[in-house]
Amino acid sequence: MTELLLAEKLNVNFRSRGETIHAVKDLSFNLRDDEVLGIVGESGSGKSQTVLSIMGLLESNGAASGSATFANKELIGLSPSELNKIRGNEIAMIFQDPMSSLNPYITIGKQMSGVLKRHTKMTNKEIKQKCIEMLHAVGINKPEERLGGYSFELSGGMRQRVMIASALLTNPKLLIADEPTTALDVTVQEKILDLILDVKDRFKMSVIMITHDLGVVARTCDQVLVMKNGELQESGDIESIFYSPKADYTKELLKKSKEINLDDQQKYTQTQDASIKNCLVRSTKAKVCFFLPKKTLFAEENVLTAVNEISMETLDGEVLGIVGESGSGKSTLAKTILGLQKLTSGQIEVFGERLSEVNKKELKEIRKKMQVVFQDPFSSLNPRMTVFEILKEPLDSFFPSMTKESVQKDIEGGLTEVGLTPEYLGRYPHELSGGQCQRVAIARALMPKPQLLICDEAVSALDASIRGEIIELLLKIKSEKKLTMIFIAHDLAVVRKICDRVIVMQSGKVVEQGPTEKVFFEPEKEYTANLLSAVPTPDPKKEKEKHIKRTQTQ
Amino acid sequence: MSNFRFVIGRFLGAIPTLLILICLAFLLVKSAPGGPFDFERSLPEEVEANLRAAYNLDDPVYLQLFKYIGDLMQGDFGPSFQYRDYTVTELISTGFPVSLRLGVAAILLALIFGSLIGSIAALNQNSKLDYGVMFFGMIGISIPNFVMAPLLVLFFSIGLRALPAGGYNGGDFYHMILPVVSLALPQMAYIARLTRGSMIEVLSSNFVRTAKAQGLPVRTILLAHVLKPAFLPVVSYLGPATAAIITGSVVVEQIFGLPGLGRYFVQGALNRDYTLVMGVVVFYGCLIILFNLIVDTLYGFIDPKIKQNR
Repeated sequence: MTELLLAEKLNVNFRSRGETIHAVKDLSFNLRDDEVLGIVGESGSGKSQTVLSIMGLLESNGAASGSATFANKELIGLSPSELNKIRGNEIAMIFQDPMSSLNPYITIGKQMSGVLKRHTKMTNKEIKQKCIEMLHAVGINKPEERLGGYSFELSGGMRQRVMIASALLTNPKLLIADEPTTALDVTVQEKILDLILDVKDRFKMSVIMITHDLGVVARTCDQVLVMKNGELQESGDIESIFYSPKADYTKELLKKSKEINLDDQQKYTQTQDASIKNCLVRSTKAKVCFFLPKKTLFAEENVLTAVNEISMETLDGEVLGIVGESGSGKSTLAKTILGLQKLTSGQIEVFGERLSEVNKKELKEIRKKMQVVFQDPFSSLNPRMTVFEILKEPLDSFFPSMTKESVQKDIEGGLTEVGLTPEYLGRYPHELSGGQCQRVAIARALMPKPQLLICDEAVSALDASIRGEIIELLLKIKSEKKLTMIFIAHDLAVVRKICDRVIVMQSGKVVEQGPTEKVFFEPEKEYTANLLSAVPTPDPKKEKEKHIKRTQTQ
Repeated sequence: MSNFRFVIGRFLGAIPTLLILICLAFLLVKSAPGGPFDFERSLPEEVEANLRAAYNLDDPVYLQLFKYIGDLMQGDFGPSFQYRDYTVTELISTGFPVSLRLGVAAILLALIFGSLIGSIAALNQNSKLDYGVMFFGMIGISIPNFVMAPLLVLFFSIGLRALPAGGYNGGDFYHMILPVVSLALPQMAYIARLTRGSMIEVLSSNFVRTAKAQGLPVRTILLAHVLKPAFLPVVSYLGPATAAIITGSVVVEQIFGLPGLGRYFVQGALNRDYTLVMGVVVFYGCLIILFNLIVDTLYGFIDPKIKQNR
């Protein structure tokens, strides 16, 4: 094995408003032929900036220094025209968000052929042939038709496959994957990771895999760099990183990722007692349909059934998890329970009242007892309101006759409850971190003292360490206030940690429901089992076993 | 198929818009004090009574409106009150070519130079050039053309004596320069700012980063990836821009003494020449609706997402 990429004392600095930010500090590493190198760290650790500097893709206020030699050629300081001979040709890159990384205005065929036109002397016919071949190689059906289509017609996983296909066109020696599966569902993630490993072997490439997920590292990598605040914490082969970590930070990351992990043998004690409980939400054959615009004048109406005759109930005091892939209808179900989405047919009873029969005033009374926390903490808080105003709003709306003093007291109390001090009251959302924003959102939901809290992917957008904190907070609040929670998530490990009961949804239907431990350890349906095994565990040996099992069954 | 259906749908949708426009304009014109036969030296009463009867001015307003719409549907704009021997249709067909010439030249100038300047500013973002362009852009937008036109005349005609200060002279090139420039400047400035903004946004998009990672040279990235999305906002602005050029031409034609439609419109309004004013309003209304329709259809061809949703 020879050295393919050698980085020595690589530094990346950004200049912003007179300040210099060191994004990457004195980083040295090497990558051999045919090897997968993982760079892992939380957001802001400089892992993406490292590869962007190698590719010459830093923002205009960024500068790289030090050395990075690729196949004995120095990349740092290379002129753009020299660099353009290498990138896209010998080094290819795929990105986190396949939705925005493909140009929605030109056809897929045109985007792919642009690479070949730039780097080869192929004729148009050969180019087309090669594009079709590559789309086929990454498992895209009817590649000829796709060439004339656009990226927005494809699902997230398919888009990432197109990205990989375009990256492979020139037979690169190195493929850089920057969080390639972060935006995807677990089952899709599994397939894309397998595909990357598969094409790595077939096309004899090296891969740099950038991720924050130790499970992904365990599944794919041979060598690992652990980074924090731009500095290398530890590097080594995968076995030593996972089984005998030296740096404290690595140990901490491993501990955190195992805390919320499916393979954890410890069974969580469930708070559920056997006594008969009130039913807060009862849905009977609830159905929600969306009517899509007709393609032609006389075509039949296109109907998308997001929630298809779902019957379920939520008992007083329990934490009910709803899991499923994106598009499975779990968020629509939550919106319907909240009365934000009309039912097409069926019934939903909340606190004993039928949602379809209540008037506006009664709905408001119901909503007082039922609050929600959304996924994106930044966009669900009004950027023009201070924390105080945000928390005051529900009080104004539900308890208009409260005195000024008790409003102030309630707001301060509510903020302390979610672990923030009253000094945050005057701040605006953009002055808070993601975790703090989510705390404010939780505090806002708790202001009217609800009985039922619906968390719609409330921790999905957060970094691993912050996610842990928010989950702890939710659990604490739940037990202190005797709250009932509906917890919607695609992250199965989180669901397992906090839910008493789970509903597994697929394309608008309930696949399976039951107590969490039973669904997770003895799943009855194949879909549930697949969903569970798709979650990568931060344990390389187990991942290898799983991989072998998968390739055998295929 | 879908585009065709879209065009038909929009045509049908334009009918109520046009009807509302006609009614509002008609009522406004009628509510203005005075009438077409109020001269310095008043007419004998019998003559005026005969005139009013001949033009149906004694009917209730709603009947006049219905009759007017009825005539319009047969393509009849009616006779002019002021220019006795001309119909409104004849006046429009003599005035419009002048306005068309002025308007087309102005919009082309604004479009070409505006998008060019905006692109150059975007490609040199935060440089002195960029700040300079944006500064003059702001000035161009803020100074209305009735101020800009006299200033241009003062400088180029009276100061430098390089260009004629007014007159049409059969559409002579030198005579058209100042009117076209003063009409185009605010639009040019707006389009420049619009182009700059959207181009900066596209340049920082993830798909441009992908194109860079694929090793495409800057020129290819600009032509193949950036141009189309960056100019979408400019294309959709063309509709409002046409309306702005038309309203601007009313003022500019007056200032430079061009015998265009705008001048007829102003004189018609001052003389309470009901049919002439209405005729110009309806004609320009149709033109703006038509142009917006063309722009929206064009948009569908450029933006594949829109095409799919039609």
